Amino acid sequence: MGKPLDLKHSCYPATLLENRRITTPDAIADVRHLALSIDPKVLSYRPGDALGVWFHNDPALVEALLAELSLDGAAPVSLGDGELSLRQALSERLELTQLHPTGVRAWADLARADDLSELAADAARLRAYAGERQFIDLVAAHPARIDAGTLVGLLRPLQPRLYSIASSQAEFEDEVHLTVSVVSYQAHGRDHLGGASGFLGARVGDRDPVRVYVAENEGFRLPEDGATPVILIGAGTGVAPYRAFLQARAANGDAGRHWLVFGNRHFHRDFLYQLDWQAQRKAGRLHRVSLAFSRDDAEKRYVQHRLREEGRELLRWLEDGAHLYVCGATAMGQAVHRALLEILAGEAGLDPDAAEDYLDNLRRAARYHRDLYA
Amino acid sequence: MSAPLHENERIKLASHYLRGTLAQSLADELTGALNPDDAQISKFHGFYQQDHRDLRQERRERYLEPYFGFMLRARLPGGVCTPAQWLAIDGIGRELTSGSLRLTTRQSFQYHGILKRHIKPVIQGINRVMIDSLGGCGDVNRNVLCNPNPVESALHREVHEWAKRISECLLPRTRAYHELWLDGEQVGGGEDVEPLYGESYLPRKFKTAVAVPPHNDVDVYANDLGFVAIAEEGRLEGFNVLAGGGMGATHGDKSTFPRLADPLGFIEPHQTLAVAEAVVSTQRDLGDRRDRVHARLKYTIERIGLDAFRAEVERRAGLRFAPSRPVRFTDQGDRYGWVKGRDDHWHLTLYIESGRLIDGPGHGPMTGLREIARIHQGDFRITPNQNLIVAGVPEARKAGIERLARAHGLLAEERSALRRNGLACVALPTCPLAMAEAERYFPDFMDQVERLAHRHGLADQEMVIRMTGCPNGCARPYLAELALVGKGPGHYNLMLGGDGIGKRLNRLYRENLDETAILAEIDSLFGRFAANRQPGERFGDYLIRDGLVRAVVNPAEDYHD
Repeated sequence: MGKPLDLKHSCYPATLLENRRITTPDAIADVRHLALSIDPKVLSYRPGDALGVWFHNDPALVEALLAELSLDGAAPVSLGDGELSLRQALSERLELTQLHPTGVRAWADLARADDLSELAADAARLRAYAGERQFIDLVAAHPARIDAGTLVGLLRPLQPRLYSIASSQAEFEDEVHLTVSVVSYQAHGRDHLGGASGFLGARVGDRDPVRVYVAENEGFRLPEDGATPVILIGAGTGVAPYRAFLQARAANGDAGRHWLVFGNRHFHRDFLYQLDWQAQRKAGRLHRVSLAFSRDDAEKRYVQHRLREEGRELLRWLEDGAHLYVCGATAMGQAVHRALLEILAGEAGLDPDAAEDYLDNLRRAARYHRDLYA
Repeated sequence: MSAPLHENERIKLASHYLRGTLAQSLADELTGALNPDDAQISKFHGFYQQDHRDLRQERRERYLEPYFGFMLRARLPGGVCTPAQWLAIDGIGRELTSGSLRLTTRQSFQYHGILKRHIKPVIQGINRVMIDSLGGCGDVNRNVLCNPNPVESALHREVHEWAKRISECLLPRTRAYHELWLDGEQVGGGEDVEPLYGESYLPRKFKTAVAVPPHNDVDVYANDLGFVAIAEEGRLEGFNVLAGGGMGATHGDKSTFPRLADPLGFIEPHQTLAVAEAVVSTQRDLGDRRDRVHARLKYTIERIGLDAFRAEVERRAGLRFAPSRPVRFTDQGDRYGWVKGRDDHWHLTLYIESGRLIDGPGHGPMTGLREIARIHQGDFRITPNQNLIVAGVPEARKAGIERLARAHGLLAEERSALRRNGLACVALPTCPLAMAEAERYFPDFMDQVERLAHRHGLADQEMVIRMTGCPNGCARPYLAELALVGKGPGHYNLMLGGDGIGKRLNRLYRENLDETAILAEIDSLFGRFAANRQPGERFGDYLIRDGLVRAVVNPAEDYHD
């Protein structure tokens, strides 16, 4: 999934070197390791940074929407900076895969759909409704006749998506690696494909330029001192920046200890970059590994469960000055936060306020870093 | 000049009586594998590290390690287990392994695809029904074979008791198995003793079988140590002891060969364990620990000579062998269907193709056996031909068991005589040694052989046909009348000339053939056999008589001619 937009724009045309599925065919998630070719003189990034990716919408989605609305793709429309065809606007300039609540509200009026208007009056229901749909699901369920200009006015400008960078330029000077889960699901009677993830994972050819920029992420940096131990907590594609971290520290010859806490569904299907972690351990850089695969056993266990089990060790690392990193979905980040509070209460005997203070102090000391996304 | 000890010797010696670093290997979450040294030590505990070879390349491309799984082989002397044990074995197979079971050519069962974190629950599970896996693999005495003949009921019971005693007597004494798997108390360093094996165990695996003539279903001559029961009027008089048999060979290495065990002489029952220990300790001390390819007892005997070996065993056992008693064997296969024992109970030998128990769509041998186990009150006996005997059935329960067996396709009655005597090892995709398919391909191959036999009017011909994926010989291919030994993907050595009773080695007839060439050879040989055979003559005997294959007399001298 993409992250909120960082407005720093540049439009470097990278090309795709490699698009490799790194989960097995029977894995639920189709996770891709993508390598993009860049010119290091033009584009530079640091471990922790994200890459902003501009993308084109799926032509099949554009045609389906045109058909659904009985509109002519060749019809000229204006987007403020000149005229272009409706088809091109839908493909390259307008947001089709992330439905915004205001779009639902406006469509409810256009379609004179009372049930939709009623739903739109309830902010929570509206958010949930929009979160589960793309624009085409809305117009298919509530048909209305509109013209091309109205459609263009209704849709928000296409936003680039941000992905944590999974490589270090110290090791791959002229490449940038991403770990992208291709969003793909069946709902409301049609196949849905994520906007940017579908673009990167399924549609970009090896000659097509991919417009990218570096989104700096100052809140998610390795410690200044290469000897400082770090605890790297991530679930799913949230593990991506840690691959970059370890590459960078390896290139520096840093002596700090690393503890990887990783969670996903199945050990055999989606242990992302397993061979990388094994190589890092063999090279003496990965000192502790705690894993949680939630679907391998009847009882679901996640990274927060592993942390609780290893609370005493975690405190020892923190006492040694370790930095904590948490990357992945917001819900996971919150669960990890609660687990940390419990550990501080249980293992260090802190009362709830003192435990919160402890984590606040860690954060203020730039030792508790979080990179979470919806 | 003396070569250094083989690497495995260092691993054994450093393992502190088979502990190694198995505990750390099991706790390591980053990999589904063991540390390389522990992957050797684990064999002594009954399990082998394997990986799904079909998936190697694909997984590497996904930055995933191989799909590691473990094969665990139980110790089940003589292959006997109770219905309650069977239900536990079956349940563990379905819940904690790949969902299937294999009956082995050494009368045991093995699980495949056990994940590292499930090894301990599997071992604890079989332990709850009093089954262990100690010595299932590794450089120790393996599961002791014993003729499962349930007909001579009292004699079988007596002989089977000896098989169990031999197995117990030759078990490692280390506490490591209990410590690691059964949460037994740790024993401090130095307190373990292995009075028989010592810290380095044996130079190589060691196989023991007990035969009850006239049946040679255990292929007693293929074992390092063999006991042939000599009975008078149903009472055990003693055993003819054999030593130095073994199947394994290496392609392209003429210093390796399969070998039949030599006779040491006759002993009385009470001398059995002393002789077993003496043979094992002699091999422990004289076996080659520098070169694992020549480490089996058969090469030790070739090197020092049979007379010197016998004398050493006599000295260690404190006895003299009497002259071997005359023995006659009639077959090496199983006797399918119902037979009645002397105690008036009935015994049903089921047909399990390649010993593989897995439920498929519309085909449920695993379910069938489970249902039989729920109502059966006798015992089960896994045969050395990978089949299963439902033994000790009272007359009144015969019909019910037969109904279940038929409903689940477990009866041999619809299979040809060719197929009934077939054996195939597991091979691809799990066995790390396999060079070609065996178990997965065997049924298709047999379809072709049956077609050819039918064409030549040989549809009812009894014939021992075996297939292995490599030359190590788990399915005892060198004792078959016709065998395929894997050479490379889709290619086999065609071996011919066994005698159907396990007393004559076959010989390489054509090397490295693909299926088309193999079938063409068989077609031609079947044609000659059909035209020229004498009444009652076996295929293997005909090939020798007609000069198509020259009999192996002394494999150390003439096997590679």
